[in-house]
Amino acid sequence: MNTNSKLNISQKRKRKPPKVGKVILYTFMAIVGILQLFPLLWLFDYSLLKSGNFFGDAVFQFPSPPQWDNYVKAFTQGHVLPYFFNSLLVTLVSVAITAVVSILLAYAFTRMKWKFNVLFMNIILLGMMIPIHATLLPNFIIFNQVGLLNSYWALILPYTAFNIPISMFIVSGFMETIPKTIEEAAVIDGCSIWGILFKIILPITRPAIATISVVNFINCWNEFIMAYTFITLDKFKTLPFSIIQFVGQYSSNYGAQFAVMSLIAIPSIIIYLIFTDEINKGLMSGSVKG
Amino acid sequence: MKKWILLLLTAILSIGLVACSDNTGSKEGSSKDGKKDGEKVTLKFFTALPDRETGLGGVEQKIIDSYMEKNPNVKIEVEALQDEPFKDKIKIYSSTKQLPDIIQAWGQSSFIAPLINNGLLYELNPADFEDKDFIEGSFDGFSKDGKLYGVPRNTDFLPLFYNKRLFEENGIEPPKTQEDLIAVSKKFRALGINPVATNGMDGWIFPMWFDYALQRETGSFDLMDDALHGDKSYTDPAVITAAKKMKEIVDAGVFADGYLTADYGTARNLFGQEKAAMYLMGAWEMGLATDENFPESFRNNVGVIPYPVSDKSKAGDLVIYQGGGYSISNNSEHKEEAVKFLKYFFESENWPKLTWQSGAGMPAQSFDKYLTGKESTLQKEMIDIFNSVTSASGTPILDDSTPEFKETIMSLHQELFTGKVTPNQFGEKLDAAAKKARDASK
Repeated sequence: MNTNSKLNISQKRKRKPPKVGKVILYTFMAIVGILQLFPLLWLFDYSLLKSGNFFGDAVFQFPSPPQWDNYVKAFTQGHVLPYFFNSLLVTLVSVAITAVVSILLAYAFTRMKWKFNVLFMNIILLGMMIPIHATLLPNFIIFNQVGLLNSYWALILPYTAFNIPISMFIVSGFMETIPKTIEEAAVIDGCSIWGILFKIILPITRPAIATISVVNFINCWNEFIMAYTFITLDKFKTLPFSIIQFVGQYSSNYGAQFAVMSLIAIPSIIIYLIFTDEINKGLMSGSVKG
Repeated sequence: MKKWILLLLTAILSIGLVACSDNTGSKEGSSKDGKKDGEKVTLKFFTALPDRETGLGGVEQKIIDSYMEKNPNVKIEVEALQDEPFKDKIKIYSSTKQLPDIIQAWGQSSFIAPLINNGLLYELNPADFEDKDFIEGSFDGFSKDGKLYGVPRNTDFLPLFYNKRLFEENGIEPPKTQEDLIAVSKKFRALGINPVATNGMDGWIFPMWFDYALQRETGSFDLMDDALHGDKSYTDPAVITAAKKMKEIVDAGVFADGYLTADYGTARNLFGQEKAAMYLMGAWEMGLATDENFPESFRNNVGVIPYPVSDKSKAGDLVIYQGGGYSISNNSEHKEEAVKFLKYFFESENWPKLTWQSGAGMPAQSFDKYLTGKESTLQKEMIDIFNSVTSASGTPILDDSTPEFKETIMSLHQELFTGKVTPNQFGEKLDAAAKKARDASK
């Protein structure tokens, strides 16, 4: 405190910024920021290069001339546009279902007292431990028998199933931090259970919901293993398929692949930017008690 | 009250699900009905060439398109995934007996043997392909007990690519013997140029190179196969000496910096950007001479020589084999249509001609007639090597056994070169792996 006030005084006198601490803080933050942004800039830079210039000595290369053709190829040969809509549909539906189910589950587990409460919660959390690869074959057989292969459900159902345990975990961790007195007051005022859930709990849990939605969005958006196992028809393919359109027998058209990846990254970045505040809140408050 | 709401909710959810799946069902139903006018047939075609516009994938797609044009009743649905996902999905397809009608297959035990043993592949009639000028012995990998289960697509062999400009400008002669190779590499090292680029990270190139190393040591490719089948052993002194020699070559700095962490694209670009003088890679890379991603000075100067020899071997002793091909699945409902398509596919003016003229690779059929005279120098040099063949390795050692053996032999080479195992241990471990593979396939 003492040094602080001295520093303030000296600053006023000399009108110089001698706040060494802040300078260090800002340089440190700037370095971290650049490190975070670097992969994105690098991705964009390389998406304008010829495939032959990849893997060179220089980390950053100035594209001369920029190969905009890579982007043209992404749209023509890579079918980015139709795949984009498939990805969007599958992802949004999965994220929405996951969010709804997670809220209902979390509420049931944190607020309601019933016989097998703990047991069921543990069973659902066990879902986190199942590796994707172990489910591919059984799921393929089931989908095949039910006739769901090559449909949007073949992606939406497993995506939702895989995202529910962790989402439920985050949301219930968050709900536990909400004081019960709020709900008691609501009950006294005559609110029903659904009323409590949608009018009181839901608005308070918004940060947690934003967090899980963004995480789930990115998971579903980038998922490829299940997609190539359950989907063969062109009209259901999702965005990661456009990257492999450029894989040859041995070597690939890297430039076009990077162009596709840049395009795929854009929605993720936008979603992140929109929700970044909520995510911070969600992560912070979830982590205190969850 | 609570229960009612719950019931209602589950009812709504289940109706929603059923309704949605009904929708998709009816959509599929209607499109199937649409196909039924005439004797329409849909063939599913599963390939490991995802790029459908350039290279081999482009040629493949072109033939498929022209076939559909000539046979309007046939629709060919192409599914394409790259190597690893392709093999994963083949496993899933085969364990559910859902293999697509035509699949890409490799005439190598590690891939095709499990499929044949489980009766998943349809037996082909060799007479159907007799008039297609296939290179002698090219069906061997796809046959078992005298029955044919697939048709080869490509001929692959392992030469040494080199950059003529770098050699000429520095007054260095291309290496003829293994000793030359070390001497030449030292000269390039002194000049600050990487000698040989190769993709050590992928792992498969070294066991193929081992085929050469052992052949140069013993003068024949037989010991390799005999040891695998248990007639001889990998602890044979010749194997140990060959392993020692490989290690010597590696230690002399023949391979480019970071060769063990270089994947396919890295190695290829290192050579293409004229930063490495030589490139140990399969003949399929003859497209390098026309790849506009690389500077012109490179394209005009890329050449190819056979792998350096020893006094026991000739330059014509090649690691040469049939790579990919196609098989028809046993559960296919349209086997005859599939055979008809394959016959069309391999007709002389289709696959062999188009493949050769696109410069994307070497067909497994003789293509002498399609030489246009407009080939790149690289292609011409490649044919010279190909025509000089005096003995052939057949399927490279790593693909001649079980998938597990393949993993072991690939990592053993990497361990040998990093010094984790000695040449003696290398031989012992390899022998143990071969024995394990033999026991497993019994």
